[in-house]
Amino acid sequence: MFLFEGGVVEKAEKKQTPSVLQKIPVKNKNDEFLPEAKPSKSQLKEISKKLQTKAAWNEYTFRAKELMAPKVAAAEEKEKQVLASKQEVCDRQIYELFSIKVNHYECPVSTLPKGVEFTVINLTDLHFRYYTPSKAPPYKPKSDDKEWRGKEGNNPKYYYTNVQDRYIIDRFDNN
Amino acid sequence: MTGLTTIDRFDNTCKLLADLPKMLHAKGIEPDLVILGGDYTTKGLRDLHPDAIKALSRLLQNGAKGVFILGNKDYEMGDTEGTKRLVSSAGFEYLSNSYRQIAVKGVEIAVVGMNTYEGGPQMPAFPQSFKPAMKIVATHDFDKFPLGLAEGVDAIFAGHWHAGFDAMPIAGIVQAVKSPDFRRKVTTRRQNSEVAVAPIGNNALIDQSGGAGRYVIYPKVILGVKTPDWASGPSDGSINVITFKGTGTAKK
Repeated sequence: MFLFEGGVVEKAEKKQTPSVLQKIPVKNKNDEFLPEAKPSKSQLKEISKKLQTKAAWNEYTFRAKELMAPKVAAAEEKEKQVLASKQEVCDRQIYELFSIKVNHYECPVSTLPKGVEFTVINLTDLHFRYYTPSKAPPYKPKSDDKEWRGKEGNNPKYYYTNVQDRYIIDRFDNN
Repeated sequence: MTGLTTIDRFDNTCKLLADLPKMLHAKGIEPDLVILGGDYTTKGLRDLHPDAIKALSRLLQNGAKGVFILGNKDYEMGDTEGTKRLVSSAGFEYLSNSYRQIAVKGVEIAVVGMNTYEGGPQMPAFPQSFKPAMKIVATHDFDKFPLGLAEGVDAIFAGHWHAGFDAMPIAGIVQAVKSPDFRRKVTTRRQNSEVAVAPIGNNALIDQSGGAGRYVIYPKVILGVKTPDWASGPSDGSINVITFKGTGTAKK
């Protein structure tokens, strides 16, 4: 059951919401029940019963979403800012990492005509490693992949937490 | 290109590959050829995740050609066919004692993939009609590469050695084929981190110190990245890119 801050009930009354909403328990800014609004056990039971009707429940959830919207938006904005900040750090780290890792050499070749250039990159010994997330069971190299991945608990996507990894994935997605 | 949909964890190799095309472009580097020199994983195909394959395919997105060979780890893990299949699916062509013909501005270049593990390395024969302006070789373990096969080769791209060598490309080193101290010289150069980029195809560069033996121009060029230590710090690995610049007077 949703709990609203003080003032919500009053606002609802003005909009002539169903009377059942008037009995919904409310909280103040300190997350405490307002004594005058705190329903009794029997009242709570009655509210619960009345909210089982579709119309009442729709009205109730609609109001809840509407009232919570500013809070949700603020939380999302804050999360965006945090992520952007982390992404900036990742970005800088990666570019710092790469900035010293490219050696570009030029080699004159007399057997190639002037004006012809041929650029080669040798990416050898990549030794890819696919990490098992820390919360997943330890990877057993000799086990069958399908069998190992088939278990829900072994699926890394359920355990994703690393911001930088998420960032890397995003980079692929955005390019 | 379809973005990655799974949320997985990668090592630094994938971090590298994610940004590599963009980074090279920013530096004005547009590769014509990407060589994958083997040892794609350490513990087997499970580590060659589909998203890693997608990352590899991005290296060719601007029209670069791609070839690959296998390394010792790929053989030790047993499933060479699976490795070939996966890397091929990224757009790279598998070479095993075979070659790929690449045309750059109408000039033909031969890229040979030398297999030092399966059946021993052999130089493939070119048809008479194919006279490449450059012949370059990709091999994994240079120590297993017979020096006799280096004759007429303009550049050799190798791997396997990892630390101490991958950040140290040597180009245009001229050595006598039969020089007994060849390996010692290479080792010395490696330890001293000497970088020598010298013209290829220029007789003036032939090393005169080897006496009257048979000489070849022996350019040992570029090693790739070293990934296992990347996690410990950025100074351990590097990406080496080389641009061969034509100095000839006329097109063949």
